[in-house]
Amino acid sequence: METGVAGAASRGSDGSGAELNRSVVERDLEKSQAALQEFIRRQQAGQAAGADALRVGELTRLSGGASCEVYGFDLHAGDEPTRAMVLRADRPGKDFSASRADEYAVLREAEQAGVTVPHAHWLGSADDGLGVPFMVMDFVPGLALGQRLLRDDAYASTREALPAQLAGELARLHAAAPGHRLPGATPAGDDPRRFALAAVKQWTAAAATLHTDYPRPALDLAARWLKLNAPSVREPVLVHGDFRIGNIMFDERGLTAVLDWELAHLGDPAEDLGWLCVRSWRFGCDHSAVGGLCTRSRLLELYREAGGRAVSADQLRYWEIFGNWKWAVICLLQAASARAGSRPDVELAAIGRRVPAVEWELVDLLDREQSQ
Amino acid sequence: MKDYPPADELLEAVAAFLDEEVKPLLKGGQRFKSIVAANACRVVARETAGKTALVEEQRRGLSELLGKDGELPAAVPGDDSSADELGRELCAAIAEGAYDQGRSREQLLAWLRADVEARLRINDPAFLERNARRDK
Repeated sequence: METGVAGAASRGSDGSGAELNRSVVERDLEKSQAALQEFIRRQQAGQAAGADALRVGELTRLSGGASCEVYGFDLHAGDEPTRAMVLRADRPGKDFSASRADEYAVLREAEQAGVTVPHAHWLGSADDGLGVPFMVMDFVPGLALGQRLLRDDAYASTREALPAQLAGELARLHAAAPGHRLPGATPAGDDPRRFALAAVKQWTAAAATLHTDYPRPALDLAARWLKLNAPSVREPVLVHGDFRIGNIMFDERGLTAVLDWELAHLGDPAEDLGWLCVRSWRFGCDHSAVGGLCTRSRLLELYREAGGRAVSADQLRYWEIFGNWKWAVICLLQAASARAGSRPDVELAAIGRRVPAVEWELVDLLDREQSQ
Repeated sequence: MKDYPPADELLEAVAAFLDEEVKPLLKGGQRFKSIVAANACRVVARETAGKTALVEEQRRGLSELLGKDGELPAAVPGDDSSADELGRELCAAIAEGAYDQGRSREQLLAWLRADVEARLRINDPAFLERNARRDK
C-alpha cells in the first residue's frame, strides 16, 4: 500500500522517517545500483543498440512508506540525453496492496486509457538482483504536498485548474476497458452489491490483521452501516483506489501525474470520487469538501462534463463514509507498521493518534444519514 | 507517592527541547519528524493528566449504553481493562444490529461523539478548534 503510507507527501515529509526500517535496497545502495544497471541492460539487450553502454547513476531516496520505497536515478545512454527515472521497490513483508506486477499492469492500462501517468518501463521480480519486486518508470517533476498546494501562492493557478483535471482523469480511467487481468479477485456471483461488499470485506480483513483488542465502536458502527447500505454497481470499472491529494503530482500550472496505483481494482466509479472527499485531504480547508478545492456537487458536475457516469449524491456519500472508514483502518495499519521494523518509528506510530479525528468525521457523517 | 516533577511536566520539557533546540538544526523529513515527536510528547502528557477521568467516563457511559446501570465494578486507578471490556461488548452488540436504528442508534451516536471529542482533547485539540470555527 502506498496509500498515505508512501504518500509520504501526505505525511508532509520526504519519508526519511523510514531510515531506521531499512529495506534490502537501502542496506546497500551501491550494490542495488549495479544490480539495477545489469537488469536494465538485460531488458534492453536486443531491443536497443548499445544496451551495454547504459549506465545507472546514483540512487537517491525520494519517498517511501510501509510497503514501498521510491528512488530517483539518472539513466545515461551513450550520446543520448540522460533520462531521469524512478525505481519503486517493495519493502519486504508488505501485505494487502497489489503486487508490483499488478500495479505495473494497471499503470500501463491507465496510460492507454489516456490517464496522465508516468510511463512504466520495466518490471523486475525478487530474482532480478534487488531481492524484492520492483518497477522502473519515468520521473515526473512536480510536488504532491497537500499543504503546499492549498496554501502556497505559487499554486493559485493549480488550485483553479485541478478540479476539472481531477474529474477528467477519473472520467478517462473509468471509461477504460481493462483488458488485462486485474489485481485481486473479482467478487463472484451476481449480486449487484458485491463490489461494494467486497471492498468493505477487504478492509475489515485488513483491520483484523492488527491483532489488537482495542475496541473501536465508531469504526465498527461504520463497517456495519457500510455493509447494510452497500450500493449496487451494474457496470464495474477500473478504480484507482487511492486517488487523492497527496497522490497527485502537480506543478505551478496543474496536474502532472497520477501516482500510487497499488490499490487499483474493479469496482464502483463513485468509490474514487468519494475517496477524494475524505476530510483528511482538505488540510484544514474544510469549506471545500473535495481536497479543499471545490464542493462535492461541483466535482460531480465536472466528472459528468468530462464524460463520466452519472453519480448521485447518495452514492457519493456512501463512498465518502467508506473512504473515511478505510482511512482510519489505514492509519491504524501504518501505526502498527511502526513496530515492524528493527526500531519503532515515531512518525508512523503517531499516525495512529490521528484516528480519533477520522472517527469524529465518521460519527458526524453517520449522524447526518440517520437524521434524513 | 510520586516523584517530582510529574510526567506531564517532564514531557513538556522534552517537547520544548525538540521544538526549540533540535528542530532548528534539522531540515526536510527529519525536521518534520522532530515536530511529530514534540507533538507526540504533548499527546502523552495530556493523556497522562486526563486518562483516569477519560476511562471513568467511558465506563459510566458504556454501562449506561449497554443497559448495565448499577452493575459497574469499582474503578481501579490506572487500570482501563474494564472500559475496554465494555467497549468490546458494545462492538459485539453493534455487529449484531442492536444499534441499527431508532433511539438506541441515536444514543450510541451521541455517546460516540462525546467520547471521540474527549479523546480528541488528548490527541488533537486543534481539530476541535477547527470544528468550532467551521460551525460558526
